[in-house]
Amino acid sequence: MSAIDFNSIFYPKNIAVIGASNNLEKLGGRTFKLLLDFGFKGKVYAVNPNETSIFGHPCYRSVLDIPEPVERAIVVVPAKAVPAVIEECAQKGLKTVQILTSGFEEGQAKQALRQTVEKVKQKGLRIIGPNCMGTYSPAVNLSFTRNASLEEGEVAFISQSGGLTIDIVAQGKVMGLKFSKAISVGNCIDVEHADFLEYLAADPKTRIIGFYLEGVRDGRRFFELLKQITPQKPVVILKGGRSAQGAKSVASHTGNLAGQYEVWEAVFKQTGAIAVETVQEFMDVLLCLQCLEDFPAEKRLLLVGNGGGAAVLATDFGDKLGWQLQDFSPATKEKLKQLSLPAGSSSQNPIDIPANILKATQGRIFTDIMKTIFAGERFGAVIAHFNMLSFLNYVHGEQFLQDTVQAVLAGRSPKVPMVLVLRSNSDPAVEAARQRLQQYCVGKGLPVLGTIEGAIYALDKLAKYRQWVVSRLPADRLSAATA
Amino acid sequence: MREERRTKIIEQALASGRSLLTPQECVELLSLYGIPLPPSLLAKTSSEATEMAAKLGFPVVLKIASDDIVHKSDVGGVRVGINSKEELEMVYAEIMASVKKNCPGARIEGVLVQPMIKGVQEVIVGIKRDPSFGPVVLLGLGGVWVELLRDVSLRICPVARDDVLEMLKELKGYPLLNGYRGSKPVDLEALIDLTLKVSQLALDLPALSEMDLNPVMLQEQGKGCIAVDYRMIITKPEVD
Repeated sequence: MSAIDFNSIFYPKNIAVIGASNNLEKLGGRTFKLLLDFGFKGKVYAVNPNETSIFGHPCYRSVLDIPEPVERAIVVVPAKAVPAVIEECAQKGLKTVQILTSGFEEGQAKQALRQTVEKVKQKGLRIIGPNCMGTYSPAVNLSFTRNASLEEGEVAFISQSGGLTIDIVAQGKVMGLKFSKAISVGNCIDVEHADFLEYLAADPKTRIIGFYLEGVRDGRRFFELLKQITPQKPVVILKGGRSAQGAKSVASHTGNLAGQYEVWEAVFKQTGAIAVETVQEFMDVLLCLQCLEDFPAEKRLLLVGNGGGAAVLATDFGDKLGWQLQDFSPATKEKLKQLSLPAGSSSQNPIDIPANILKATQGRIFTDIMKTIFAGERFGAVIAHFNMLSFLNYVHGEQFLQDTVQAVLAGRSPKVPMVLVLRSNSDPAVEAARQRLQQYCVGKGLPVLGTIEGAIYALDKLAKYRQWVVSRLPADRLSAATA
Repeated sequence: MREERRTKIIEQALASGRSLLTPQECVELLSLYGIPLPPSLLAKTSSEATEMAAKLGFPVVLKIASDDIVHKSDVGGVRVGINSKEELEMVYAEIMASVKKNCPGARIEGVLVQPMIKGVQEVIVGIKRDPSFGPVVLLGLGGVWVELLRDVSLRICPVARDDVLEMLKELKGYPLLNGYRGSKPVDLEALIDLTLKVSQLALDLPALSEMDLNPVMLQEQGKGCIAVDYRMIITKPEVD
């Protein structure tokens, strides 16, 4: 069996689309056209025995007819034709093939493909999929969706669900979450999760790893790899199929009590992997990991913004997760008073600053408040939150909001992670303003999330992760880290 | 020696097509790993049972001894809290009658006589083999409410001492083990030690698919713990 050539997966010099088509109603048409439109930096070859040219590119009957060496293929032919096509790829000397075709879940088709996979492995060809969506690698302008960013980032995303891969890559573009690579791995008939994990651990372009998975084939290997990797790189896992009860055991209590997800929870605890439960949480945590250099060292939270009710609800939520909004010392309170905050703003945590008070200084008072607090108080994290509508209702509202966000950026304290929450209604104009600000702030290392609860949740995951990393540090580095 | 013995027990059971190990097999395997069990004596007659009970000291427990009977309590094969010679003679007869009625044709070797073990708290220690991660050890508050309250903690094997300590602290009922409202703190060290042995046993026996030690009776600090009841299920390990 040959090693997996990950460069041919993520940085291929060329790609043959087997089953390419001129018809954009077909997957083969869309896949080939997208390679062209997205500006894939390598060479592309169209393969289809029934065509002579596809979107202006010569079309080959078989991959064997391509006059140059090929290292990677995307296969979109019908299931029954897949095994023969793969054997040709092996003969041609390809390194990897990603099979988008589905229909191998069971029975004869699965058996036939499995046999072929074993055979071509011996010849050095490795298989990704079947039943997947494709690969996203901004470094070479490779994508499976038009809604992906061309900008390279440091987050790698491996997904067992094709649809979710698209959702997350597209949503990432809007949020400012930037990927080094993302891949939909489908049924993992050959290359599987643990293989990707091992590669990403050593990948210099990846700093953060995210997985959506429903199950892993070699769980033991995945477990051991996770344990090794998490002290260096955070691994966030969105685990699907949590409610699956599996076969109920009647033979023992333990069999009944140790369901599939309970076992996964043990895996998370023992490996330091960050477990999340929804797509939104997944995105929020990844974005915070991407933006923040330091993670909360203690669960002491400072909450500042406009919207008293929202802050009260968030305080309750934080309390459930063990976050404390401790009050300020008398000295700090006195200094806050000297800022002559008008009535309506409070000088206790959470601090409520209505928009009209921010307006008086075009937001600058925010920086003063933060500097005053940080001079005398210790916090593990800060959440600044604004209800956008109360800004945008002013004349030149967006400018006011931008100025306030500048004041937030200026009010940050080193080593104390801060998250900005911009609450919007779903009005398209508000959303558009929100996205502009989001991109800007993320670029400055300030993650922008949609809800205070979401921000607390993400900070909580980061605090837990930090604790795990610290507990894994050797004693000499430990004292430095906790100093 | 330990390896030979355990391999033999498992092979014999698999060869005879059983998935549930007999109490004797369980006792032997658990003893190989130094897991503390109550003394258990096999009596073939009522008078033998009386003799043994006197030796162990009343109160005692009687359990039907038969390889053919899986769920002993369901067929009236288990009686606890027997306090005297007279009571024992009566109970012995009742067990035999009930078992013969409910399991006609079952081969009966006699009854097992065990002392009644009481503890400060009851816990469950279990093993389940997960298809992708291998053996998983479970620790939880035991007794009759174990499945209702589901106050359990799991870890992938092997576990170290610190892992077990963490598991204990995860239990909502952890304060109960540490002397809650005047109850005596239990021998946690003994429980940790037992859990580590169970983890090792699970790693050594790939055929072991599920195991319950339930209840494990925890005594006061320094007085140990005892696995009072046990159940081990085996399946032929899959070869890759």
